[in-house]
Amino acid sequence: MADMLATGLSSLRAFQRALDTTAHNISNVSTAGYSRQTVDFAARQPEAYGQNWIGTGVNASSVRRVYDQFVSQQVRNSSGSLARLESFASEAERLDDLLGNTANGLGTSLQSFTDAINEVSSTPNSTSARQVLLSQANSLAQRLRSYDSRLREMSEGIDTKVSAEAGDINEMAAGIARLNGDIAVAVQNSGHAPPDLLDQRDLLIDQLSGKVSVSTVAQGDSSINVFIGNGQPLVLGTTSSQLTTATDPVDPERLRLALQTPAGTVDISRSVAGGSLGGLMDFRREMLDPARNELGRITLAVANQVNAQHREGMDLNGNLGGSLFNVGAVGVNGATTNSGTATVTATRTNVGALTANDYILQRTATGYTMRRADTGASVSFTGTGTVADPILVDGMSIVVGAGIQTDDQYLVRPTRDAIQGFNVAISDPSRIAAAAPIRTSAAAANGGTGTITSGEVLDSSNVNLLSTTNIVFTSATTYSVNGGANQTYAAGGNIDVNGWRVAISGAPATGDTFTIRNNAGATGDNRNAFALADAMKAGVLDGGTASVSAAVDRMTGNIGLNTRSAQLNRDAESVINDTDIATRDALSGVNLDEEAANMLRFQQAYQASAQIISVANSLFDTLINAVRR
Amino acid sequence: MVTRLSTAGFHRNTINAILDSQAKMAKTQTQITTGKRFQTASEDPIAATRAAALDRTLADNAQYERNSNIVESRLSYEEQTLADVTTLLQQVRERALQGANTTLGNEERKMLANDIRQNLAALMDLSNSDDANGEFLFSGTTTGTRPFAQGPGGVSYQGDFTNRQIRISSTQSLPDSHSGVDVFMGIRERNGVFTTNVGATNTGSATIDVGQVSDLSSWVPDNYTLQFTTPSDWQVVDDTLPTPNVIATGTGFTSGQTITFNGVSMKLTGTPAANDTFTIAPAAGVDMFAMLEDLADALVLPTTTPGDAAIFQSRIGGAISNMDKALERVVSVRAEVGSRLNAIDQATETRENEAIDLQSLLSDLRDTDYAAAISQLNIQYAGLQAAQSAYTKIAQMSLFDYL
Repeated sequence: MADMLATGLSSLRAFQRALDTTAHNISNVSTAGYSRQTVDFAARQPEAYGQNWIGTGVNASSVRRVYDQFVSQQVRNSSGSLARLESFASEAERLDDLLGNTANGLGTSLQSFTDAINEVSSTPNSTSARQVLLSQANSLAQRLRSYDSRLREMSEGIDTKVSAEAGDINEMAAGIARLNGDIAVAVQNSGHAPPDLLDQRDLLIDQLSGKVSVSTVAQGDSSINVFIGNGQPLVLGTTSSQLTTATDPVDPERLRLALQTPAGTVDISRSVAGGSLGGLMDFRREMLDPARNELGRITLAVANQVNAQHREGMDLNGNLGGSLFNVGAVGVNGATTNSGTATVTATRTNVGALTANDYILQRTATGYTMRRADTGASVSFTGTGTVADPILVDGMSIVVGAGIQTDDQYLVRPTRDAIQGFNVAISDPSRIAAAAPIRTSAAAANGGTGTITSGEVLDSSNVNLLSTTNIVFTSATTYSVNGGANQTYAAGGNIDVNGWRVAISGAPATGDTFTIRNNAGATGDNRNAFALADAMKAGVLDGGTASVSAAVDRMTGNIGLNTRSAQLNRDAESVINDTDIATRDALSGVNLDEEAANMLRFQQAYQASAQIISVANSLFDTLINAVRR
Repeated sequence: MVTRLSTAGFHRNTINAILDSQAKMAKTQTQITTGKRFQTASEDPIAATRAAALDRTLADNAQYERNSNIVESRLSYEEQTLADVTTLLQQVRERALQGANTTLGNEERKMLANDIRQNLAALMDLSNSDDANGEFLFSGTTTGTRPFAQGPGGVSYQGDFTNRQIRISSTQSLPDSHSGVDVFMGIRERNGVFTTNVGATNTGSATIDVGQVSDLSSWVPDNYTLQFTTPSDWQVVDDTLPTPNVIATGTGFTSGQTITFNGVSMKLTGTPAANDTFTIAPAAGVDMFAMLEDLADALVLPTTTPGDAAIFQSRIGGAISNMDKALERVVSVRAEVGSRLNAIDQATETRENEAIDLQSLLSDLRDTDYAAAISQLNIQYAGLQAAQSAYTKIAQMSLFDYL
C-alpha cells in the first residue's frame, strides 16, 4: 500500500539534496573551472493497487555537472592561442619599448655621431669638435653595447621563464595524473565520476593548454591521457613524465626542452608550440634573435665604414689614422658533444654580404655541411676548410684546424658577437684622422696649364704612401714618375702610384713637375673627415642599398610592425576567447538569481513535503483516536 | 546571443570592459601630455619609420646650417680681405700712373716708390690674414702655417694647394677659402701672354708697349728679338730656333707703327737707332708681391738718356699692365667668393623651405591632434563613467534581497 509517510520522506530527502546542491552552487560562484551542478529528480517505482498504480514519491536520481565537451574544448583552444599571443606580444612590447622608442633610440645616437663628424669636417683643427666626436663615438658604442646587454638579458630572462614554465607544466601534469587516479577509484566505487573532480581535472588541462599546446585522449576508465609536442606522452593514466631543461650542446646561450618518458628522454625543443611557453620560444626565434643579429650587423657596418675611411686619413700628429672602432670577432662555439679537438676560426671578409643568421657547421664523413641554426635550412658554401681553401659562406671565411671528427658541430655567429667588443680605439682627439695623408702640388715654375687633383688614397697600407713622389713631364705627352720610364700622358687619366691616385689634366709643358708628398702639418685639412661624413650616408648593407641609418630605421620599423601584428592578433584572439568563455559560462556558470529562484522552489517543495508528513501524522492520530475508546 | 549569464561572467565582462576603457583613456592622456600620437614604433610602424627618416633629414639640415655658417663666416673674412687688396692695388696703380708722367722729378718718383713699398708691406699683412678662429685665410689646409714669407728670392708660399670642402646640403659642398696661390701667385705678367722689353744697350728713343694678342693660335711661346738693322729696317729673330731663324722682317719703320708676327703685335713709339733691340718672351707666372716690387724698382730707374727713358717707359707700362692683371685676378677670385656666398644663400633658402615642409609633414605624421584627442578623451571619460555607474547599479540587484 502506498505510504504517504514514505512518499513525504522521499521528497524531503530529494529536496534536501537539491537544496544542498543549490548551496554548493552558490558557494562555488567564484570558483575557477566550476560547472554548476543540477539534481535530476525521478518518480519512484509505483506500487500496484488493484489495477492502478500508486506513486511512491521521488528520488534525486543523480547530481550531475552541466558541461559540454565541445564548448570546453573551444575555450581550451582559444585560451591556448591567447596565452601564446599574450606572452609573445608582451615580450615584443618590451623589445619595442627598448629599440622602437622614437624619442631616444639608436637612430638618435647615430645622428649625433654623424653630426660630430660633420662638425670636425667643418672645423678640423678645433680640439673641442674632435673631443665631441670622440665622446659621441663612445656614447654610440656604449648605446649599442647596452642594447646588446639588454637583449642578452631578455634572452636569459626567457630561459628563466622557460624553466619556470617547465616546472609549472610538471606540476600540472602530476596533478592531472593524480586526479586520473582519484576519479578512477571513485568510478569504481560509485559507478559515477565526481563532478567536482572532473572540474578540477578540466581546469588543470585548461591551465596546461595555456602553458603549452597539448592534445588529450579519454581512456575507458574515465582517465585522460595528455600528449605534448609531436605526440610525446606527458600524462598516461596515473603517471606523468618530467619536462626538463638543459643547455643546448651547440649553443651555450640556449636552453633545450626534453621530456623524460618511461621510454627514454626525448628532445622536444623544436616541436613544442602554443601556450605561453610556445609564445616565448616563438618570440625568441622570430624577433629577439634576429634583432640581436641585426644589431650586430649594424654595428659591423658602422665600424667597417668608419674604420675603412679613417685608416685612409692622417691625424694631427702626421700619422695615418688607424681604426676608430674595435669590434668583436665572429663567435664560434664547438658543441660540448664534439669528440674532436679542432679549433675553428671564422673571419669576416665582406661586411655587406653578412646575414643576420647563425650557422651550424657540421663535419660529415667526407666534408662539411652548413645549415641555419634557426630553421635548419641548408646553406651553400664553397671551399674545404683548409687555410689554402677556406670555407666561404655569406661574407665569412672559415678555417677548420686539425683534429676534427665526423659529426662534430660548431655554431658560427657572424654578427652578434661584434657588439660586446665594440668600443672606440683611440682616446686622444688629435688622433682623429680628419686630413688626407697626401698633398699634391704643381711646381711654381711650371709653364704649362696642367693641374693636378688633390689625390685620393687607394691603399692605406702601402709602405710608400707618404714618400715624396715627383711626376715630371719629359715632353708634352709623356711623363716620368720619380725618374722612371716614360709613360704616355692622358689628360684627366688616373695615375696610380704608391697606393694613391691622382689625375692631371690640362696641357703640361716639358719640364713641368707635380709633386705628391706627406700631408703632415695640414691641421686645417678636412678631406678625410668630409669623406667620413659621406661614408656614414653611403649604402653599405644589403648589397650596398641601405645606409646604416636606413638599416636602423628598418630594424626598428620591423620590430614595430611585428609587435603591432602580435598585438592585433592577441586582441583578435582575446575577443574569440571572450566569446568562447561566455558560451561556456552561459552553459556551465552559476547564476545567483537562478540559484535564488531554485532555492525558493526547493524550499517550498521541502516545506510542502514536511507538510505531507504532518498530514500523514494527523491521519495517523485520527486513526488512533478513532480506535482508542 | 547568450541567453543565460553566469554571475561570475557578468562581473568579469564588466570589469574587463572598464579596464579596457581605462587603458584607452591612459593612451589618449599620454598622447595629450607628450604631444605625440605614438610613443613607440609598434603604435604606428609605418608613420614611425617615416618620421625617423624625416627627423634624420631635419637633423642633417641643422648640421648643414651650422656648416653653412662656418663657410659663410670664413668667406666673409676672405671677401673683406680681398676688398682691401683691391683698394690697395687700385692705389698702387694710381701711383704708377703718376710715376709714368715724365715731368716728375727723380725725388718725387723715389717718394712714390717708397709709398709702393709701404703698400707692399701692407699687402704682405693682408695675404697673411687670419679668420675668427685664428686660422690663416690663404694657406690652404695648412691653416696653422703663415702662408707668405719674405725670403732672399722674394716672397714664397708656405701653405698647400688644397681647399677644404664643406658640405652645405645633401648634394652640395663648397670650398671655404682660396689658397694663397689661387689669389696671389702665378699671375700671368704684362699682357698675360708675352712680355716686351727694351734692350739694355739701346741708344735710340724708341720704346715698346706691352703688346696685344691678335691670334693666340698662331702664337709660339719662344723668345724673340726684334732687331733694327737700320733706324727704319727691322727683323724678328726666334732665339729658340737654330739659324736661320728670322721669322719676320720690315722696312720703312715710323714712330707709332705696330709690328706684327706670329699672331701678336706691339707698337713702337720714338726713333730707334741702328742695332737697337727689343726682346719678346712668353709671359711667366709672377706673384703679386714681385709685381709691386718690380713697379717700385721701375719708378727709380734713370731717365736721362733716350735709351734709359725708353726702358723706363716700357717697364712702367709693363708694371701698370701687371697691376691690371693683379686686379683682374683679385676680381675673379672675389666673383668666385660672391658666387659661393650666393650658393650658400640659395642652399639656406632651399633648406628653410624644405624644413617648413618637413616639419609640417612630421607634425601630420606624429603630433597629437589636440582637438580630436581631447574630444576623444571626453567621450572615453563619459563612457567609463556610465559603465561604472551602470555596473554598480546592476551589480546591486539580486533576487536574494527579496527572500
